[in-house]
Amino acid sequence: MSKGNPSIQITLVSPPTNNQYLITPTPSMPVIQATAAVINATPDPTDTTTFTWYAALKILENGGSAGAQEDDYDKLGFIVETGPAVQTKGSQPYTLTFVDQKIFLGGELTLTVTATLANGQVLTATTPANLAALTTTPLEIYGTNPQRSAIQSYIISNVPSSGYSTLQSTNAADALQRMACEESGPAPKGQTQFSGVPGGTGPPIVASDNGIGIMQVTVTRFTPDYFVTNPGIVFNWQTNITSGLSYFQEKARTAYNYPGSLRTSTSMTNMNSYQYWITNTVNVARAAAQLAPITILPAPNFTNSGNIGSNPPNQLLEDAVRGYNGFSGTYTPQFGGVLHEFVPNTAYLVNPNTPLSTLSTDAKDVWMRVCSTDGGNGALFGNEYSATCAGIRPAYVNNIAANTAQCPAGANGN
Amino acid sequence: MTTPVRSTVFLSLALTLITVVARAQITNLATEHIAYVFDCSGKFFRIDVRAGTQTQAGNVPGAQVGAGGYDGCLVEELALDPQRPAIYAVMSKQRRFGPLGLRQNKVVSLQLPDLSVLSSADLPVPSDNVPNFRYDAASHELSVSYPASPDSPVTSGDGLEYVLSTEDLKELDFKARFGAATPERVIWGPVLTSQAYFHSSGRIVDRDRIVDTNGSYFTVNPASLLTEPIRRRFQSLQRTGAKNNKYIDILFADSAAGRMLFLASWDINGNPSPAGGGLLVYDAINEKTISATLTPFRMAANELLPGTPTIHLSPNGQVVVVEEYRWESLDAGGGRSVQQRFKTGKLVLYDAASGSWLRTIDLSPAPGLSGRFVTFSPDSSLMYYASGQNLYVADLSGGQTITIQLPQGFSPVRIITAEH
Repeated sequence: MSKGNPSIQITLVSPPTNNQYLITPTPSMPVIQATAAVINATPDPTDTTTFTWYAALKILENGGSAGAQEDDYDKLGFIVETGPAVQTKGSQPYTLTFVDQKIFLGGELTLTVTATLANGQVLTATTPANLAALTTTPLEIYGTNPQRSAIQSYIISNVPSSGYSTLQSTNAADALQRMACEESGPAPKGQTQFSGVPGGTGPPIVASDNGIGIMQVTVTRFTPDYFVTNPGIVFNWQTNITSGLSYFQEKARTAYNYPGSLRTSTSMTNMNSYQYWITNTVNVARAAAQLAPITILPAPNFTNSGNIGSNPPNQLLEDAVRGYNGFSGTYTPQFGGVLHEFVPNTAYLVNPNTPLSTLSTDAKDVWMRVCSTDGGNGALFGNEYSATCAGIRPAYVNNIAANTAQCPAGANGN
Repeated sequence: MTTPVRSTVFLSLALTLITVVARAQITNLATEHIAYVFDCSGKFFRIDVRAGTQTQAGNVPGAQVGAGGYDGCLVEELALDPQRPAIYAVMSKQRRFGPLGLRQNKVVSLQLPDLSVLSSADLPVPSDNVPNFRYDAASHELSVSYPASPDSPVTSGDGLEYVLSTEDLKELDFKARFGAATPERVIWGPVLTSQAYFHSSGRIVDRDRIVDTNGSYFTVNPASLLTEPIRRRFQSLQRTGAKNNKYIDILFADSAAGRMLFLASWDINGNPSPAGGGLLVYDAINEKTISATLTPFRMAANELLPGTPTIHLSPNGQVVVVEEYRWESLDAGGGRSVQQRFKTGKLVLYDAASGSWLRTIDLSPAPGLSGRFVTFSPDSSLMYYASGQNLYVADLSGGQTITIQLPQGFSPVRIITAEH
């Protein structure tokens, strides 16, 4: 019987099914251990051999379309060196540890082990080729989706009790749960960080626009590469949610500031100011009708009560939700040049029956929802408009309103 | 942040070839028969209007085109330099406004016809405003100005201007005022919009405002144009006010070649025009009304959203275009309905000088609820019009039209016409 040349064989301690280690839904990183042995050498030198271990993660893009629109991850993978080399002796198990003990990382894992025999021969082995269990399946670190109830609880508990920019926490948390459903869909997924269904496992969701995970925190070549700068957004569902909430908070602040920015758009030297439009359009029409001029800049604070989709609408919430998706589009005159969910209602301002005394407070009537009725097209009006603008809401806000916080059947029209 | 399915559809279709779905021969064209059509997300396509074919499509080089959400428009302003030929563009440097509501912009020179980037210059100060942008071909200067706003760090004056020399297309260069250490110029006085133009009289006309050579400025008061003879002519447009008073309202709509276009009887939701609308063309340089025309067509002034105003003055100031529309009721949810203007596709042309009817042009299919004017060609021979589905090109002198089916998600916001 012939013997092969001396080599190293790697044995996984508690090998996972299909070579897939799983980040738990808690979440916590899996324990990854392996031992090495020298084989085909007599006498067996394993007990006296020092093994040097290296580990590397290759983060492969999951999903996403190739082509010009793909910014970052049309590459074979991003190699993460997991830390300095670790030495073990004999059958002592090697345990994978990261430089940052709190880090969450996943992807394709390659373990490399080297040893120098007494005769000076240097041996090297890698996974999966040199695994004791004959397999060509690479080692992977995937994630386990928590149940939706855990996602919902986490969102609720992480929205500050004071809410965001006068948005009540309950309304904001409700919308954010729906957004988590919408963003990480389509059904049967939704409120999922990894590609499986709730409770299921898989690699992180990376959408064609490089949106990541539950809240679709987006990476482009114009943002930091979260795979490098904050991998928790990719592999830790709680970090992903926290990041999404932080982003929403920023958009809520922008939405809150918008009426105020119109109220201070007082320049008459700037023809794109709100004041100029009120003076030279609205008040001109009012003067012709012998109506008193509007002497304030009518832009009351948005209404801010009720869940998304309520009637009358929670304007602040809906504008913040729109902002999360992008205040894309413009209108003229350009009061800042960004299209919000609501614009001043021209017809109301020139209407003879409009009471001037309530223009500073009557948000329900002063603001008008923007509806493009643009056949589903329309970066001009924002890139997320529905085909019919049914319900006079853009598609994204519409979709969020159509969801529920419980996300019972996943995203998109449950 | 979008879900995978939606984004994939949007992105994959955005660059598909456009289709000319209906076409008559447009033969009566000036030299500017190439149109570069841009949308808000930084995509463009190039069409030969004469041949009715698309020759190029893609992302505007230098723009922050990519996946994911964005704020405002990624290509904000454009101007043609016909002598080079090149296009100058103001682009945002970031897809989203930052936490303070500010964003940095840059000016880029793009070589025609491939739109390759020749040079790029970052504007030093971030702003919360879309810049105003003008190109002066005579002096080879680009002016980029920001109006002041309480949130903007740009200036303590009324605005801030940067002037860039385009002498060398490959090196856009800031021109600092003599003796100044920085390229910024604080504006004290009117901040010109991107629609401002120099008239041969030396004055600047900016929509309904005239800026004199000495910097003084005034806005034309439309009510002062309603002389008694014109009131009589527009008598059928007279409305009854809340105090039982009779009145005719008149509002600014457009401006070109030293002329201003006003409409009488703003037809607005909840307060419809009693009978059509009136057109008044005013020579703002010589300060005289040159025509006042009663039409059977309802008209809208600027209501802040695309699709208004519904009347337009050609760049040479000689043709008035009226968009016909009808009101349609839409379900607004919650048991409410809203009225929206449905554009029928009928464009009615009037001679600005005499007020006489010139011709009627029919766009097909009807643009509908999303129909809106986009621009004229600089030589006033063509008008570009868009709906959610189509781009229409109308030959104003011959009356022919072509209809170009737009890729899904592409909504034209700027069109530059050129010889090449």
